[in-house]
Amino acid sequence: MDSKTLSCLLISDFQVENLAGLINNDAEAPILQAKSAPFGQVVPLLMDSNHELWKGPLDSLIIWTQPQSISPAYAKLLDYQDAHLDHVLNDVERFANLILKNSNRAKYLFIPLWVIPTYHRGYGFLDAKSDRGASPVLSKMNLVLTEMLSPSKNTFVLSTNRWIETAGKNAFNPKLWYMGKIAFGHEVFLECVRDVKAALRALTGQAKKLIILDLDDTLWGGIVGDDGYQNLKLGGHDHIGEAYVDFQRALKSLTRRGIILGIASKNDESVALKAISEHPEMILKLEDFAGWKINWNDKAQNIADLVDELNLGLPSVVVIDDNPLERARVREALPEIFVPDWPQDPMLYKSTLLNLRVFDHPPITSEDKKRTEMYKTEGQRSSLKSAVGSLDEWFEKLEIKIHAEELNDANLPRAAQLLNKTNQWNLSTRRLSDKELMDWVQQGHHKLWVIRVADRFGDYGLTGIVSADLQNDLVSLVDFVLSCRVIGRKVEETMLAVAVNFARRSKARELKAQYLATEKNKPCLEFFEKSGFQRTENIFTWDAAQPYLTPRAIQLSGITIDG
Amino acid sequence: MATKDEIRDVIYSAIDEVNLMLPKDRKIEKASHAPLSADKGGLDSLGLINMIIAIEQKLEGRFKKSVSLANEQMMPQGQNPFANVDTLADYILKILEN
Repeated sequence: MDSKTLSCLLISDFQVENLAGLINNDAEAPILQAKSAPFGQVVPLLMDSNHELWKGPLDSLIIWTQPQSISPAYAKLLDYQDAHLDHVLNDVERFANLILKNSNRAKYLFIPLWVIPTYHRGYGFLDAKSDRGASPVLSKMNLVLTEMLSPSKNTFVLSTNRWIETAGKNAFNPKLWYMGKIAFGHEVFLECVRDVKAALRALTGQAKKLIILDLDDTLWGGIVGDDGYQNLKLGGHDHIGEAYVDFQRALKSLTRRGIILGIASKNDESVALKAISEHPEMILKLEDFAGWKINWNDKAQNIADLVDELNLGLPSVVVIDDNPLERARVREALPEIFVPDWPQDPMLYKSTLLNLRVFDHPPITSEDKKRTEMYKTEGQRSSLKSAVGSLDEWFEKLEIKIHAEELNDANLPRAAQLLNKTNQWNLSTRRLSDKELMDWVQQGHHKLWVIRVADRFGDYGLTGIVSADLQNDLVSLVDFVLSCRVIGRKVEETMLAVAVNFARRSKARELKAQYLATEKNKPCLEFFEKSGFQRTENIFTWDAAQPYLTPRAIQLSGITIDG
Repeated sequence: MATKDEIRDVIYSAIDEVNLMLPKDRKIEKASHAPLSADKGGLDSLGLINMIIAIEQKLEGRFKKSVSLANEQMMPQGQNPFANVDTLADYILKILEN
């Protein structure tokens, strides 16, 4: 067994080889090596300190029993025989004391609470009122067991009821019992493995401490840069808006458990921060975040930088992002970070978050609760050099396909829609009706291409427009429009390559792009500043004697770029 | 009516579930002639119990029929229906038809 594998012994009054098998095959950290004691020997084993099973160090011990085996008095109650509650609780106390005596056998003990099969209805509708009802007596048994084991620092009771609810109707199968003395179905054992591992991660310092969140369609519905914060789906009399608010509330609740929050978002920082500060239904405020990276740079690098600044390690981080491409990028570049699969439907965000088993922590201290503030004041602006791997290699893996075609009747409606609704990535922010756009294109010296983008994560459809006006030996870039959905996939550079190619084929001297500033299109300016074009105030020019190379990772169709 | 291919799919899905509990060197292959019973080099008694229950649950989920695979009256005389995936599929088809 290597140093990272933890040992685990299962002691039970039913067959637990299934559980041992699931534990041994489970690849999630920490890795466990489990073996099961012969079943039906719980009390004799716990009373025999010389048994060979106790020889050698043991990292974890799971003692899983059925209530009727530990308490003969409870077994009588299940049979509707006379038995007093005091006798039942005496049985429980004896068992709890036996566990406590054995609490030094392993580093950590896990005691699943007692349940009975759902077909045991006890006294039916009177069960809860009866002092001999199967359910109320079982609740008292579990309460006494929990209270008695509570002082033991290394003994933890686990909620079997949640496993039963998750497993549903296959939680219990009488056939499994009669054929193999297996008390629970497969799903119940799987849930047990997940919870035990979550506990061991917490106890061995592997719990997650930081959640880094995307913004658009993650913390709120919509794209803040395009829609404006007033039009985001957040709160209001809307089921999706309500779901986003609840998701934010759930994140805020985690901060009270010592989890800190950060933001990594491709957005204009001032626009995003304004939304957080001013949207009336934002639950999370700026002070809830220990740090943020809001810009148009590679998200993985941004995350690495943020984690650096907060003086945390990558293994303590969870990244939540609605975009599968961004999730894949972060997983590939920063494999130590946990990036859960994320549902498409915001109504599932809260439940998905709360069901993640990575935030289990040892007992919360008041220091944990103040952790966000600590990180805000202690964070250092250190140099960012966490290794995130090569971005170019990442683009090659994406298999990005771009198709450029001229405007036609079929693509006109979508092109006009894109032109009129895009704000951030829009050079000149022209607004034209379908007819006006087609009329403009049909003037001989105008050209317009629509850009379709796909990669291995999906087909994004018509998401770009580039148009040009040829006047003598000068080509002016008129429209440069791109949907936020495809930013950062080298589509921007490819669109420039298309425009420059047109200028070169038209024997123009240069290509000129005039940036017309609006409240929202600063991202477009920032791109042109890095594009290689020469800048004079708000005019960007390219010498048409030089080609503008299509990025290597792009497969371009519909047009040939001269080399 | 269920087809043999559909039954095989159910069996393979059950194999996936059972394999989660088996050590690497004892995992069952998802192939028509993959042996299932111990005498053919397949599952031990506990594994077979898990396989039977998993298949019964998946059959009920998929075809809304409650079947009992450990039904001695349905067992073919002198043959082991759990010899391999194919024989098991044939056996299940026969049960569903009846």
